[in-house]
Amino acid sequence: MNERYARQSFLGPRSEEIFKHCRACIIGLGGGGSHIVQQLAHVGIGNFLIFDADHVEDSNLNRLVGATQADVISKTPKTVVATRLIQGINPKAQIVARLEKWQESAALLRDADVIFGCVDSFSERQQIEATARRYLIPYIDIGMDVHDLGGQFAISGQVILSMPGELCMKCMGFLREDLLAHEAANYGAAGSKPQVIWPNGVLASLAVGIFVPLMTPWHRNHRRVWYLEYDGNSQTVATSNRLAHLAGTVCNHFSSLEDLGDPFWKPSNLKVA
Amino acid sequence: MIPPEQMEELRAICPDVREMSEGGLTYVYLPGLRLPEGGNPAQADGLLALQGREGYPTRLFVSQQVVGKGNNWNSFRILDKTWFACSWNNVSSALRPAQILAEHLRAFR
Amino acid sequence: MRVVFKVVDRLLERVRVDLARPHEFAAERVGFFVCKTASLVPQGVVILAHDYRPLEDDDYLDDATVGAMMGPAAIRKALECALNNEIGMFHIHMHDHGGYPRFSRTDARESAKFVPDFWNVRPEMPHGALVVSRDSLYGMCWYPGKSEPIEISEFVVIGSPMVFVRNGQ
Repeated sequence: MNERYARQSFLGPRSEEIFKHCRACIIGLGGGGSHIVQQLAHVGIGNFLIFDADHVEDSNLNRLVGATQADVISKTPKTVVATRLIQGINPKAQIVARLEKWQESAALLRDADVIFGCVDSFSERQQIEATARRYLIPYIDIGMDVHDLGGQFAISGQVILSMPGELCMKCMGFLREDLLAHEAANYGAAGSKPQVIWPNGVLASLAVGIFVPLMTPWHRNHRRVWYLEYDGNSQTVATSNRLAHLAGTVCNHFSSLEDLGDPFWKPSNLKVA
Repeated sequence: MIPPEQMEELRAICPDVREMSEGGLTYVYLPGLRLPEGGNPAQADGLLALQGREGYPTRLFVSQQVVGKGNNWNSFRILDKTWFACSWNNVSSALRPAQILAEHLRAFR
Repeated sequence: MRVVFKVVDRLLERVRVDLARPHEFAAERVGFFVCKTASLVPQGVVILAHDYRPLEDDDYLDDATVGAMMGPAAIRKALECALNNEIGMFHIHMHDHGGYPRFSRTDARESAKFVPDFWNVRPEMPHGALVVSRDSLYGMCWYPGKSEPIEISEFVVIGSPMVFVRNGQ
């Protein structure tokens, strides 16, 4: 084993090789995504597919891991920041960095072993999850919110694993039509949502902690469904009690043949690089 | 499932129409849909959502934005393709699909 | 061309349990994965297993020269399934050992006879044949327009943990 990974040898004799061949896709390289990218690079993930259409702004520096003052001045793309971060830790990592919305090169996602969603809209989450289910890819979603309680604030967040064949975010009640409708109605009026680094760090770490045992577990009690709720005021993380109410439920949102593969498949669809 | 006679009405507008679904929602795929006269583009693929989503009881998605028509265009990934839709709401799902389509196409006149 | 085959672990387990059941006279059981597909970038294709159709007990022929012989009813049902759905059919049987399985000469010969017949009813889809061991998989894919089958380069079993079989490992 490479001396670099000696301290994580408890993850199994094949863990280094597993991580090296793993293909991780991270959508959104802001406050949450930048943390995840950093941790995955440290763990030894060998292949990255990263998406973000944005450039670094001054208001990002309170939380964007790897970004610097010089990046603000240069308006560096967030994909460049993430690439630099990964390569600084693991120069051998293969990185496909797309300075665009993921929808514009969605076919690239099909090859991912895992997708991390670090986006800030329910609509984006719905679209990513449907795509992940279509190609039988585990999807790990993170997000945080700051709620105005009138004079004081509450920080909250979630980490969800949407696993093919298991409960989806709709089953879990996280994606709901009323939330999507409210979001669509407020389009353009949303403004900048409050975001700070430490909840993002907690959520990103939980996400990576859910991802690693999917690849190489270090114990036998690994779960297939995760919905963790973070309370940033009491600094606690707990499994959502929604899961208890859903015990034994089978997801039928993506169970149809039509939810799998390319719905417009033709042999001529074979893509050339 | 859309009743056959209603599919026939759609087929008269778009010969290669087919019903599709994703995530439990039903869509009508309308390849090569002719858009209202004088529009740019003249035709595009259409995807008609007959059930509520994002607060719209029905919605028409198109493969390209219609230049100069419709407000607040957004992009969506549905059926593993990228589609565009503008804000054109309140077309009831109680109408026949061909009527729903006609109502949505008014946004591009 | 790279061919990746993906299956959820619970479906694969259902297949293993079915294939392990004894039959009155057939030495082995067989069945079909019902699959969808998509292209990969660069040149490649992913096969996604949706469901499993076992052969019914009465659909085997009593033939001691092979492990299992599909009767005409079995083939008809499989062809009908492909005709009525936009799917690829992947035949599967089991080698009851641990480690990476391979096709026997008989497996390869017989697969080459019947798999391309699925193009008579579903010409646009890839079809194929697989063999599963206790802990691994192997298979071949017949891709539309290519006369020779392509070895499946990678298997991904989706579960917790995920299982990857790449290049026989």
